[in-house]
Amino acid sequence: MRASIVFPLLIIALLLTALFSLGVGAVTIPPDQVWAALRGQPVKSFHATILWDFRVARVLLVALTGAALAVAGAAFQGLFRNPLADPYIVGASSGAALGATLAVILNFRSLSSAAFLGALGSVLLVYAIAEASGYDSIVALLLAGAALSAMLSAGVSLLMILNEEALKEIFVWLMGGFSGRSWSHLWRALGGALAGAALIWSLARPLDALSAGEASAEALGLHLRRARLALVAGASLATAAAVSAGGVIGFIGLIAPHLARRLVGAVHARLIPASMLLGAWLLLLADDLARTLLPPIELPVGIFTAFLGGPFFLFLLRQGRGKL
Amino acid sequence: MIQLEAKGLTLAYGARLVLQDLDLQLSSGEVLGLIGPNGAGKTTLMRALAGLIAPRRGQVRLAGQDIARLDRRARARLLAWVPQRESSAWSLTVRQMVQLGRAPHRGWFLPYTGEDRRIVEEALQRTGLLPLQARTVDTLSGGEFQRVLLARALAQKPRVLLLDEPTASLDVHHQIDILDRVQELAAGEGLAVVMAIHDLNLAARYCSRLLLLHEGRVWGSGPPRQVLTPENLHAVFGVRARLYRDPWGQWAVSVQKNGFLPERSVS
Repeated sequence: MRASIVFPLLIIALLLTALFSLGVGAVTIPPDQVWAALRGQPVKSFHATILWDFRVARVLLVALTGAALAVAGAAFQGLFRNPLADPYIVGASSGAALGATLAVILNFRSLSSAAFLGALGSVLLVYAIAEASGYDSIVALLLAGAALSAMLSAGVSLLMILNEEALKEIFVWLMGGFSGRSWSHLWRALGGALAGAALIWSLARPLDALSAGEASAEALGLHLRRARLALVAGASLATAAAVSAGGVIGFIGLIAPHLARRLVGAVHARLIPASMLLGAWLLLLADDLARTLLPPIELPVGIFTAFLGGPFFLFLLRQGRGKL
Repeated sequence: MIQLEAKGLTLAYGARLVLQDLDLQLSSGEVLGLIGPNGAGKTTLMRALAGLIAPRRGQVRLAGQDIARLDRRARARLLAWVPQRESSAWSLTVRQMVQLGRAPHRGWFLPYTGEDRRIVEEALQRTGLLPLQARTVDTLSGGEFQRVLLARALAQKPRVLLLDEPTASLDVHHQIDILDRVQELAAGEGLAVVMAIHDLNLAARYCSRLLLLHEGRVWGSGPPRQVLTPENLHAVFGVRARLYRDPWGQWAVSVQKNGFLPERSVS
């Protein structure tokens, strides 16, 4: 499909879904009321409070998180030349989980900050291990990430068993969700997500070159080590911001780039923005489901991304006759 | 004019020496063929000549400068390396792939200019890829993909072209197609070409000079008819072979069937 059609369509779909999302939840606000409130016209003060204090911030945060996960996924898939890479591939999720778990157990005030630091810290450690291994290939990152993730996850499990009373809170957080999020969460996640996305988008051409393999990219004059560092930094910043905002949400970072590749092709200058729009859109849809399926209970959004993402991924596989 | 030069080059992986104390010089318009048995170090030498691996001793000089001291992009403007095998992780289009050859000139961040587009167009045209430019590379045949790699190298506008087994896994039509284009580039544009090549007939026909590698050193070098002697071919490949003029007056190598069996070899 032509990119000149796809981008406007994606933007329209995203805006319509955002508008719809503002109306749904424990209290349903009719679309005309939402529209009126957004245009600054008088609406019921009750509705205005819900909208401006919670829903607008939440919708923006969900969209930002979806976009951040998608851009990180696109970056890691490109860096590792692997269609199965996701934002958590170098240890961000287990690091975030450890940070969040420690925050709950130690009664640390800000769980999301702890998750952010945990995610960045573990990626930094993975990167240092990979560099020290002397194995001069991007694969070293993958191996170090797998090893450290396993260790950190074991640590989280141990902490959970030793602190049973914190189990539920940690578990719910690990499932991912945006219950009770508002403006302060948005401001905290905004910087990391935007900086990460901008850094990755600026590396679109190196990502294209990496498509041809490490040696060919180097022969084209790419400084492999620098590109790798910048890509990991950008992707990890975006992932950490996403995790601090909504917990560990799976599948969005895996699926959005695949879908985007179908729509706009593989060249990263277009793939990256398309992935971000799709990621934002998909996570908004999942969050709407999470909020409305069993009112007044909010289900963890991670359940829906996995539940819908799994079959969708299989569908993509089938469409491409096994080619991702 | 000498474009590429190796002086006292020793290459090793860890404790394993691959090539020792190798010298070579390559001038504009030459096509130098690297031949030798499997494991003789052809690919390793290519990678060292491309500046992708550091030699244990000695140096490679590109356009008069030590390649190890050259900025990566400056190196990629002077020299293009086409690997033996390349797999594309994502389905870029032919044009997008060839455009990457402009990165050494335009850099990694600035948008491509009209000049880049003109040069890419020319590279596509020279390699006969214009009709295929919008296709994604995963839909191409082996021969077409090899031409894409050649076009990307041409878009780099290099002075030196390194081709690692450019005809491996191609049928005879596509072998001739690629090598004719390479020879034309050397003769017409003054490109200095090094290619590693297994097929001795193609080596004899298309290379102005050959470098025969064996047991970690240069076993023979010079014009094909001086290198592809029965003695050399027996010593290096362990076969009985003859170099002769074929009906078109081209040099050709014929290898005797079962020529490698000990009881029949000349020894």
